[in-house]
Amino acid sequence: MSEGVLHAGAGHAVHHADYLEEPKGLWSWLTTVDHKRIGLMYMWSVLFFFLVGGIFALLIRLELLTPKQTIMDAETYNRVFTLHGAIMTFLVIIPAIPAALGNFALPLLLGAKDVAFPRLNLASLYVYWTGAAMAVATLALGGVDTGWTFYTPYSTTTGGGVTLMVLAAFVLGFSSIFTGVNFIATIHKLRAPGMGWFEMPLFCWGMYATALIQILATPVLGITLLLIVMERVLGVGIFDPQLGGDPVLFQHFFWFYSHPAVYIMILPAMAVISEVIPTFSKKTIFGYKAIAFSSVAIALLGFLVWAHHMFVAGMSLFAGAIFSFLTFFIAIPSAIKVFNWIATMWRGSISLEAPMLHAISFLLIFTIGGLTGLFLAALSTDVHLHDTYFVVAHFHYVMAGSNLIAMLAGMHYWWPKMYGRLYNKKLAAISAAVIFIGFNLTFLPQFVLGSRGMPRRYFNYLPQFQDLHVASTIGSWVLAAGLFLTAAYLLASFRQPKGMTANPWGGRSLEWETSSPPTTHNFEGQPVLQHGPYDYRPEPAPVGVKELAH
Amino acid sequence: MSHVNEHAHPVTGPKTYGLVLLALLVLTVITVQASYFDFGPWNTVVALLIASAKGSLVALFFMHLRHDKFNAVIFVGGLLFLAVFLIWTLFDIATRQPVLPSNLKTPVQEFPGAPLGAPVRPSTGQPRGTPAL
Amino acid sequence: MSTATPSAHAHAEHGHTPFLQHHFREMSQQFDAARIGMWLFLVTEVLLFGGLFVGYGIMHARHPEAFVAAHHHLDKTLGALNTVVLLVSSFTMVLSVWAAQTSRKKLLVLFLLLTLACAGTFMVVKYFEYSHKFHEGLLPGKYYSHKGDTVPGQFLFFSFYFMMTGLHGIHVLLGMAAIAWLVVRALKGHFSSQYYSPVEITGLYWHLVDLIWIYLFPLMYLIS
Repeated sequence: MSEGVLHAGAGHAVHHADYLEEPKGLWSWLTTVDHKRIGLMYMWSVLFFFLVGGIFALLIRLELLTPKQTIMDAETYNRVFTLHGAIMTFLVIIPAIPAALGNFALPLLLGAKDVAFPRLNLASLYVYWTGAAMAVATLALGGVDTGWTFYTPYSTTTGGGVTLMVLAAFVLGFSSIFTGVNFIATIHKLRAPGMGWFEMPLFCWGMYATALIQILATPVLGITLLLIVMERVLGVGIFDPQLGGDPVLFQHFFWFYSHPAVYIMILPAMAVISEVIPTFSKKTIFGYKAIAFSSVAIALLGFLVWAHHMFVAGMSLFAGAIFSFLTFFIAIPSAIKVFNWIATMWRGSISLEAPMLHAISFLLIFTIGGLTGLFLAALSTDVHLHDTYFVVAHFHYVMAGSNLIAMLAGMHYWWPKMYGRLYNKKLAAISAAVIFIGFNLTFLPQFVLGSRGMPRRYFNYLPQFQDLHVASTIGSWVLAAGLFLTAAYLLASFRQPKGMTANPWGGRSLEWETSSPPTTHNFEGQPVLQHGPYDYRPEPAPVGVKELAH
Repeated sequence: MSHVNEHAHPVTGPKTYGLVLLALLVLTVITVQASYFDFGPWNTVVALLIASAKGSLVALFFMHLRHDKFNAVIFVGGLLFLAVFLIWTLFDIATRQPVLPSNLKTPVQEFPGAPLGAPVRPSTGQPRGTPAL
Repeated sequence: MSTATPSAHAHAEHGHTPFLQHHFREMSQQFDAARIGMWLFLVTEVLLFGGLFVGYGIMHARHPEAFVAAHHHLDKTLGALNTVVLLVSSFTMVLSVWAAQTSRKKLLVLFLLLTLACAGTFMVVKYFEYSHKFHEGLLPGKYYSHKGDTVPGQFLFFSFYFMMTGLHGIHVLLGMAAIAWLVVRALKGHFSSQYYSPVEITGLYWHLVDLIWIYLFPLMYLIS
């Protein structure tokens, strides 16, 4: 297997310092414009906040062990689930795969030296940190207890740190927009010569579709958040019925962003899966164009359905019917993808490495998450299921289960490229199983709880629900154990010296044709595409990196 | 004119821009004059049409979209989604009756502290306990 | 009218101008990327302001009498004047792009300064309009204290008036800062037909600021 990167005509491998080594020093990291370093800083930031949000989750589940107060009072409980939701949504899931894995991998997959706007990339990281600091600072103001959805009139009239939290989310929105702008320009303008739109890896299509949503939807969240602040500070009157406003209008504004936002969450996850499955099936992806177009279709359709969150909010029945009808269509491109991934695995040469184990978990969990969405899309059943644990289970299956597990798949897949080291494969397989079991044990009972009437965001509950709550809480401990195990062996991998080959998994996309870790400029010379990103035919065209005459 | 252009990008000259400015100023006069006429329910439509004519001139000529199909698609796409936001919201807002004072059997005050049928100073009362920030 | 000669290094064969960033192969690619990036950002601005327009439209439809009564407090002449000022500023801005495209450094600086002057005029007129409103108690939301209204609820209109013109004004100020920065760079001789994308993309932003006002003016000042 080739070590490092070959210079055409030089006849021997030349070792250049990789992007981790050179330049040195903390300041060089804080002022970097290297997409790989920025991606890593995002990754660790996101993982940190995942830990924080996860601790809040464990606290929630602990409280719900018994029907009455267990470890906290009702007011505190409201603040805990609000912060859990806000941190997980705005600080973890939305940025995670695009800003961490996307930043690291996108230019490599495209054969580019960096994203289109490297300084904007660094700016987006600093904006993220600023928004995160503001969000954490709300704890000092007594926290926020509105739920992460900030529904009016409560959010416009209650005390606490609502204004600061809302402004934090506003700032974080810019981080998301900057990333989106960068990715679209990069994909349009920085593909390697010979790489047409249908020759780039599907991960890039996923990033592109995600970026479309980031650009179109986030500004509306921005204005919504500003309007909350204006209501609180000035009493403008847009959402307050006593002043002639309409609280349901707030929900239209809010969900116009927040529904497409869930596709900002799932499309990158699907993008990772589209990379992992072909590599570990040693088979070309089934239905490349179908998957590519489905990604864009999901992004665009996602803008037409937001008020399915509002069926019982006081909206008109006419609107309810339209939004319900349109919502069903999203299932089609989603299902196309799932079928295509399975078809890719069919008769492939499957190797059950950690990334693939997580990808298979994803297939199972996402299918459940997606199908349960249909129950909620149907107006008549949603009337019974809205604001119950059924909804909580559904969105955790797609957000936590699918997105989180895809993030793990991506991290495990690209870890050797990022750090030039591999983790303990046996522990990785064990933790993948533990996470899968723990996740399902946590959230499967919640479907039952919800359909039997257990409301969400409730601090206490009727005794007949306790058994399922206890099962769910135990599941959360198993899940946490799996995640801590993952953290442990990933951190332990740093004890090894760097010494990874360029292509440990036998992948066919461009990132595997440069060293692990890459040099700062990614490739020696300008890579020219020799074969497709999923070309696993027995005798592929010779791979190598050509230097273009400058 | 320089020969080694940064980009093979047609250069529009001041004369064209000047004509466009003239058209924009004329349309501004028209829009002000039109506001003195009452077109009934079409008032807003007329205003928006004239504004859109001005906007198109700015976009096509000043923003160079005449020569730039690609970015024109981006811009129009954005407008399209704004239209979706408005229209889909109206699916709801326009098909339900807000609880206006006149709809109720016993009339209530729309703006608390504003007695019906008399000149008033409208109250902008906030619910109790609203913090300033 | 002088034609600036392109600087020596910019004129090199297969030129690597000093402004070519390392991850781009050639200037045209970099320029295209910059424009795509700015247009995408403009789309976000359209949706940001668009949200306010949607809110305004819906509130206007819900409270037509209040909105019509309230808008009479706005001075149509000042509004029209500001519209003209911004249109002229768009004109001077695009002329500055033309000057950069044709390597006319002195004209470039002149037109940028004229654009700044128009923007400043706009803000001064805004200042007078706002002072008048504050004086009359025509303030947003709960600060509304105007006396002698016959139609209740006019504070709603002023909530939107201040939010929309305020947000727009902030964008004018940010645009002025960007244009001032361009003046500094232009004086240093950074721009020519070889490289003028910062001027072009700042121009795009400025035209959007104008576009928003083109819609704001009739919808706020001229409704009847």
